[in-house]
Amino acid sequence: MNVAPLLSFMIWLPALGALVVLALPRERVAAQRIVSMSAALLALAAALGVVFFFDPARAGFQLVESIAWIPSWGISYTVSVDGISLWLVVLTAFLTPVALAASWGTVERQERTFHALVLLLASGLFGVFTAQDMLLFYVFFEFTLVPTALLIGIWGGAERRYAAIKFFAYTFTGSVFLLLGIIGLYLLHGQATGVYTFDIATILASLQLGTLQLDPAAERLMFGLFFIGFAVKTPIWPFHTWMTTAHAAAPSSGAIDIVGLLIKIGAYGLIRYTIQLFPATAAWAAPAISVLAVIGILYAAWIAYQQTDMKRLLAYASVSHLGLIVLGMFALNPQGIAGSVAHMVNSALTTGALFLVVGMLVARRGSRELKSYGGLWKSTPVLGSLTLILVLGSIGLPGLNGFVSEFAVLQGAWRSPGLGWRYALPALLGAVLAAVYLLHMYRMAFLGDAPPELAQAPDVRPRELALLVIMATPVVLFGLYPNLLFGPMQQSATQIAGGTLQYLASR
Amino acid sequence: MNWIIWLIPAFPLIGFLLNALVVRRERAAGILASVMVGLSFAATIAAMVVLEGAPSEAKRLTWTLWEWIRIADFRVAFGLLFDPLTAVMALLITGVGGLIHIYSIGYMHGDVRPVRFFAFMNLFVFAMLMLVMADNLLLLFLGWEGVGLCSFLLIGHYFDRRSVPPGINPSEAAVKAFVVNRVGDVAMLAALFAIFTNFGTLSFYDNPQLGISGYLDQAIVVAGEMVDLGAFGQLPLITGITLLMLVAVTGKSAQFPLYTWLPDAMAGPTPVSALIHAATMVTSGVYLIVRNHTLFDQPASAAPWVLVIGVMTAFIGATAAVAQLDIKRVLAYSTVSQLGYMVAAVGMGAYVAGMYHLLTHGLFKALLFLAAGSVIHGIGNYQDMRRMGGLRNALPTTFRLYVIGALALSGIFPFAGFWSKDEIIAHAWFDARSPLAAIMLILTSAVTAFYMGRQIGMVFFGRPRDQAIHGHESGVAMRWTMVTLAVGAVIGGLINLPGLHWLNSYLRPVLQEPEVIYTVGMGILATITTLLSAGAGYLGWKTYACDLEPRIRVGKEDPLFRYLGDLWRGMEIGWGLDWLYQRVFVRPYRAASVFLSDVVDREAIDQVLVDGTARGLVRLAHGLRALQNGYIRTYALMFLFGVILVVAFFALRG
Amino acid sequence: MVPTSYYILLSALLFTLGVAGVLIRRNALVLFMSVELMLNSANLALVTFAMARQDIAGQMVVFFVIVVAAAEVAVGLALLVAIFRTKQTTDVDEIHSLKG
Repeated sequence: MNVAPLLSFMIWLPALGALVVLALPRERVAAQRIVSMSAALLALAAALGVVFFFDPARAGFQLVESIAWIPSWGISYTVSVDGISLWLVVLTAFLTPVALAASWGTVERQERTFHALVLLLASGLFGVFTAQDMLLFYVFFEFTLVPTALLIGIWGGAERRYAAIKFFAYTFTGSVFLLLGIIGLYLLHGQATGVYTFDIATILASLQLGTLQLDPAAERLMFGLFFIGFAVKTPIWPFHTWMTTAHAAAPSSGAIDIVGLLIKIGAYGLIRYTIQLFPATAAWAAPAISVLAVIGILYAAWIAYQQTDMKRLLAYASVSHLGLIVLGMFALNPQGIAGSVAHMVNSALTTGALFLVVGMLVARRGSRELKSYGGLWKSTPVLGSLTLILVLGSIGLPGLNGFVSEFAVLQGAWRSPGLGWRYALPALLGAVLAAVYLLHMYRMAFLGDAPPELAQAPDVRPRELALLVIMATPVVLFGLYPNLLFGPMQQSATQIAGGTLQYLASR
Repeated sequence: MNWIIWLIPAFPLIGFLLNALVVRRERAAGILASVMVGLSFAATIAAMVVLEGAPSEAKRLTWTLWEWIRIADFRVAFGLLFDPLTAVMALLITGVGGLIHIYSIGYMHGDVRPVRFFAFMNLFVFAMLMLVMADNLLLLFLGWEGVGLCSFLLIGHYFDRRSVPPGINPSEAAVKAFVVNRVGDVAMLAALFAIFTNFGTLSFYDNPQLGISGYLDQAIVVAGEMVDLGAFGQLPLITGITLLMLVAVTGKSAQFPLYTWLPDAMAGPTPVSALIHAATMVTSGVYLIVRNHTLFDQPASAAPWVLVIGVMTAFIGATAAVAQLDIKRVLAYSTVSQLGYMVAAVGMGAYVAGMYHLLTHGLFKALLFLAAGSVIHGIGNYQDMRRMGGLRNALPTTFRLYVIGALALSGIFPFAGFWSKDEIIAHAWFDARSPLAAIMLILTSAVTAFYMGRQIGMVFFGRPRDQAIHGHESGVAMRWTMVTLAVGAVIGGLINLPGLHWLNSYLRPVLQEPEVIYTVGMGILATITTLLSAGAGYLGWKTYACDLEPRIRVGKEDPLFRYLGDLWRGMEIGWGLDWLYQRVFVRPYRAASVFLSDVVDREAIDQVLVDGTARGLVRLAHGLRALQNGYIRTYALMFLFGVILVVAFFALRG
Repeated sequence: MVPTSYYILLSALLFTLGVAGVLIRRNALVLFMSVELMLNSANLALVTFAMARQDIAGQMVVFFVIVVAAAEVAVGLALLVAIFRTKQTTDVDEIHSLKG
């Protein structure tokens, strides 16, 4: 039931806002901020509208909006949401205003362009999560590369040029495989059914009805192509090095976007395409992929411990979380998949907020090196307490958001017919390692005694307090009432998992 | 009336929120925190009254707040449970906890951040209550980790100091406590997963409101199931689950080999040591096993291992306590040792005896810690026993209370510890038929008495060794709370006296344990134990108060070091477990972290593979550039080659 | 009758000489002359086949080739003159500023 094309509003409003912002004169900073924030908040309103109209009792794509684009090739502009993408859309809508607000006063130059790029990135992300047409998905997928590369390359830290080029080239190369896979699937579907289309819902229906039958070799090839593209984007170990470089070089406020969402489009793609379309191969490949995931969890957590650059530390924390996310989805049961998506949301919140904190610390001390900090809980108690909540959320303390999604993922992995306790137990060790490196960071920065430069450091300013409270609230809320997250996902997760169970049962 | 049970944890939670967000003044914070715990205590009593009205086949009150998690068939409630076992634990937590809060008002006066202290103390009481009142394992785990968090926060109370007596860095100690606990917590999580996978639920008992069934009554269902360990053979499922729980208990209850965090936890203020590291948090492991007794009663369970660990810990802890020089560290190792008794008891299936000792220990150990705090506070914050001496004149009340506590701990008739400790030893000898365990426990009892005698001798007798120290007695708040606890230490035996069995009857609906029938044999065993302990205690006192007293000097080795040498040194450093962990885990972990970061990640993956690919492509491009040399004749040659190729292709094809 | 193969052989020979000239000689004018030679060898081949197959189309194409050759020489010599003005040389090896 469509009252208005809410999804399209949501996608294009930020882009429109970006254009308007670029048209404003350079000196009118206040006007720029108002325009960009309005665009972001309107998109948020549209996203909330989408949530309102979403029916959690139904599986499948809802709120479909479709316009034929290039009918002769079967390409259309079709956007929709389902249980998996709903929270990711809301997350994007939620984090964009936060990222913009975080940039006020911290972006030293060309603020107008910065805002425009953040808004364009938001548009791209909305498009990725809602695209139902594969080619449209690919267009948005690649579109997000440009603003990100520019954000890193212009406003980033010391190694920004290298990081931006590396990021762009690496992920773009991976995406070429994705394109091959998309075109391959299009052709296979067309040859089998006579209908040449890029629409996912149609292809999915054909697969489920049996009109499109892929023989194992073809399915594995398709799976492989899609998988490589998304594996680089997620990233899955060992393709993670572009991310650690990019995060370490990214600006604090732009980082929140990058951290939170960009890395989720790869994980989202894995669920939406590789698992949903090719359940048989997904079940076949799950053990191997899970091994990579578990390695990622432990390896990244281990490395994070001795990092002295806080941003690199958090970058590795993200890689570790992503390992958990991938493990959950390849558990191929409702708990695993729902836990995986929930963890995408939760880790975006906690790690993103911690990046914000790092930005605040750098603003006070001018350095990203952990060694130059100390004793901040005494001089900035409110900042210390809020950071502790975020740190504990990231560690996975029960009562906070990280725990419920982590638990769901690991429970899913333990119960999974393909995986089992042999995979879940090592992944569980990651919980100990996470405590080690995060508490180490917290201790270095906030405990102990303060160096003289920091003894008089100011506590949170109103804007910082507002940002942190806004980020910390869902951390606590989702910890106590996680059904907010899990509720809409139930049907979709069960349906996707069902596809794989069918295959496993028939084996 | 069931809703009354959620008042019990609600009060401390409100106290925490108010103290954290609103209250600014020390006095208000202390009084608010104490009142909240007091209200919680009252609510517990009220709930117990209501509980009496429940039928004895299902003697529990439940109240589900909301459905916590629901994903397909995985459902967990956010609900509370109140049955006799819970009631007993809650009484201990709120009762002793409340007294310690009142004590803290006096002790923490003038502290650098008192409001935060009281906030976290309340948060701790809340978390501990959630632990014992949870109606399912996941919520229990929330409390479990919650108390770990509060332990971290409170141990690190003096986080801005680099070192507190006896040379511990509070921040380091706090992180250590959390991380070591987490190792146990990971095992707990694994047990949770295994339980859900095999029972389909994490609830203890059936929850009709949400339609979730309980697993404790289904324990027999999985009796025959095995877990395939590949090359290691097969393991009964129950053994696996209970072993994992045992690891969790080892972490939280400071058993061997995960007890290293507890002595360092003494870096926190003394009330913290009393509440968290003596009476409550560390006893959660015992509670866990008692609550899951249907699992541990199964023949294939890991209960024998529990017994072994308990006995080992009891002995190791006691021997380590003998050689400590810091007044609180003696009590810390003593706690490790007494927890070993409790764990050994539940390992033998003597759940009531274990709970009995848990309760009496809570009373007299808290008393001892508070009295130690009184000493520390009274002499100006020194904790090194070599500096003390002859303090019984300056602190008479504290002295008498300390002796009461020590007698109770040593198990001297008729104080509380005698009854509970001897019940465990009797159980070991007669019911469990493990004479080795019983003998170890008896020996441990003797060692316990010895180190308490030593401590009393060093602190309260002899001559004052540090002339700069002048003791003064503690204030009203501190004194009267200690007196209350002392009363408990004296008459605590009444809880489960032979013949009366009040605790056993009260816990019957939950544990269904048969009453102990007291025989003459038990009486004789108890007498032997008591005499041994009394003798050892006297020996300890005499050695340190009279014989070797002149050789105790500030900054010098303990006099017994001369006779026992390396053995003494071993005892002093807790048998080197900490040192071992540093060498085997901490340092290699750190080194490996750097190695992975620099060598594997930065060089192997990043430079060789990623940048290497990039460099390779650049070199290829350079190579291809050579073809574009700008000379027309070269281009013409290329044309020629191309033409030849094309013509040859068509010629050969045709 | 002279066999057609003799003509074709001559054409191939002329073509090869032309190619050799293009590849070996450095003087731009000689280069052009070699290209002319190649074009004329092609013309010869065309006329030969036209005669052998009694098809006039071959002779028609020759006209086209002659026109193209003329146009090409015109433009080429104009370029050469322009380059000579700046570089003062007709050596093609001196013109390599489009090097990659």
